[in-house]
Amino acid sequence: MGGLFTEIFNTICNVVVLPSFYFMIIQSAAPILLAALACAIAIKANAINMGIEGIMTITSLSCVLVSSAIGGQANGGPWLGLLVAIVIGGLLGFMVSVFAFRLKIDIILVGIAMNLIGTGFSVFLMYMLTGDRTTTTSLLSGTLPQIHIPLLKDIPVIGEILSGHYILTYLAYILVFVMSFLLFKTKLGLRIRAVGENEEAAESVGISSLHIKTVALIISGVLGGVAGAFMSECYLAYFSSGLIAGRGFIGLAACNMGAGNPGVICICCLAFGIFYAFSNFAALSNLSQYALNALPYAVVLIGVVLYSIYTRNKELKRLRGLDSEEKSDQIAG
Amino acid sequence: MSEKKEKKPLFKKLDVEARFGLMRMAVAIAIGLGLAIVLIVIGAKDPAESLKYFFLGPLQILNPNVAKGLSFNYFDYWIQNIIPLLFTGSAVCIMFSANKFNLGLEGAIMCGGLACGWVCCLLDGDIEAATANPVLCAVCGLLVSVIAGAIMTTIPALLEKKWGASIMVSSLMLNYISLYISRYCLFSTPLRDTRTSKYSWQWTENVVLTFRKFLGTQFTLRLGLFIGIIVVLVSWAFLFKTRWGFKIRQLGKNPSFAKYAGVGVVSVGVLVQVIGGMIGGLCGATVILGNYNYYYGVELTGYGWDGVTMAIFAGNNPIKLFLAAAFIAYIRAGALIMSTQPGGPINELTKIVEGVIILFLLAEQFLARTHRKMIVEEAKRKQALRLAAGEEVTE
Repeated sequence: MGGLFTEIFNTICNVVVLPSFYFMIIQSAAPILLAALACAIAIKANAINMGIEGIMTITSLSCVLVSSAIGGQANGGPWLGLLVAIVIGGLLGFMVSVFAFRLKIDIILVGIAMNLIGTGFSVFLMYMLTGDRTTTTSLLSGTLPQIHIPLLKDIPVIGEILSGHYILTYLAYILVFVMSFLLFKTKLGLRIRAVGENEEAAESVGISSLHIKTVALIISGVLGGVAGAFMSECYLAYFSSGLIAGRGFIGLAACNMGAGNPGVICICCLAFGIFYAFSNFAALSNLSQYALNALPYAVVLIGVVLYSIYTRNKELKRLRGLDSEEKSDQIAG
Repeated sequence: MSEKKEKKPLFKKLDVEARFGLMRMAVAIAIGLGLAIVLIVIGAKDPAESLKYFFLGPLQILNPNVAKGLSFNYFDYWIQNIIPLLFTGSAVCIMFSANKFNLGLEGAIMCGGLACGWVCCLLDGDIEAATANPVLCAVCGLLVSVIAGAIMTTIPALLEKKWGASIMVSSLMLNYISLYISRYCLFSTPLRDTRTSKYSWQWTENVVLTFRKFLGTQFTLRLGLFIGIIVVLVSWAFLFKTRWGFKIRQLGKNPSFAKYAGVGVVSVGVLVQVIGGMIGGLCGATVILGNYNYYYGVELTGYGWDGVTMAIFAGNNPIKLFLAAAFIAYIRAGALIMSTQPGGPINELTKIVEGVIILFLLAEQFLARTHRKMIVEEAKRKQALRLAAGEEVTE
């Protein structure tokens, strides 16, 4: 046991001094962050978008197909791919809302059906168009550009960590602020939160909850599309059948941990990124690779539990506070 | 066709809701199959041939191997596909009946298979040194798998009970954790056969054979199928014929009512997930023992999600699982056979079909107008009957 701890300690010490470790944290947290933000806006409107995994799968394939169809990297294919992914993501989000709210199906089950259709359809399409059942490596679809930030990139360590990411990585972190602004500072955000808190109350002041939920799910789908594009145009330069690998679900978990608040979600995703990057870097050590791979998921699980304990305690405290207030009222009365 | 004619009077006898339910299911399945035909026509090089294999393949008629006397067998694909669906379907039926969206079945199956494989390896590790009684070996494997499966789904249940953590999220994470536990056990522990890189130590064929008795050379009689049928029947009896089952369904229909009616909401909620996990573990063990004589679990099986599909098809009533599982397994086997033919489209298209059928099965508002029309017609018919009988009818 002692040997194991020293091994772990040594590995940690070896890893944390590498700038590329931090680079990887930022990079690997980005798609999960996008997925989590997609879930966040839906969850704020009281709609659990479990179909995010399926949306990401379909959009990541479609941007590869579109990009290679117009000639890949040289003709600006990835950009058109991104655009198409966004449009298709939005459409799929709209579809989820139609099935869930107009046809009145439990939204979790819509999500599960969406994931089924997403995996099935993407593999079917891939096989039909490329004749390959696992990857689209035969298509030259290209990647979105990496951005080297002018002054920042020259600073020794920080430049290595913060500069040179793909454009969608930066977009993911910018979207955290955009999403906070949207949710907490705009009319639409207020309405989304109102519908999420109490649908009847929102309806009673003239907000159409159906309309608001649909808008929230379309935005959610668009973000899912960006996440899908990230996976096949930044993370890898092609689509493969196991590409998403539960990232949508992890995003859902992160969103759940952060209770839909973009800032907290970002922290959760970075925490996941830390352990994901650590498990990748520590693969060179003597630690068990499989235990390391399970680590990020275990961390999410523990995080969800800790967050629930925190909210439960807060709720209890609030109730107790109400209790004592009532008592003091009674005494005063 | 004759079957349909016989059923018609029965169909008329059912009340209007049941009739509408049947009709909606028929329409949903028709839409799904229509979509399948479209996809096959788009994807196949020779659509007619592919469609033939898709619809008739599992019936064994088209199998070229029949003539050659090989044991490779299309009908068996169908049976093989049915088995896990029966298990996972019953597990999810029980959990969803209480409205517990525990998606940890995938992990339970993984861990059940792993535990079973481990026990079989322990008892009967190496073919040359096989000593244990194969029946004992299989029974021990199944028992341990039940425990392992139950643990995987009970963890989220307890986390929810104690701290209110979302069952859905924690069970999803546990699926991945159990995947890596399985990989770890397979590759980094004595379970791995050091001579190969992929599998555990093999146990004797006898352990498998207790699950697979040959009738001649053509048909494999799978013991797993019988265990599955028993599990379905027991789950049905449990849900609909026992006091516990009644409580579970009450909880699912209206938690507040159940609470005030004196149902132990928390304990029943945990119980269904324990049972679900037990069935899941059994499923994992049956799949491993029924098909291989070694443990091989490096990917998630997807059976857990199938359970959700099954429960939706069966409307949370395990007895309907027989039809549902037979249907889904049939189209899967058909698609698999079709995809092995040259120029056939990929069998993943069944997932699209399943997803679409699920959506239309569940859609409350789908065919709502027809539903209303049917109710009105029924009411008018009854009114006419009563008028004819001379009763006074008050509007």
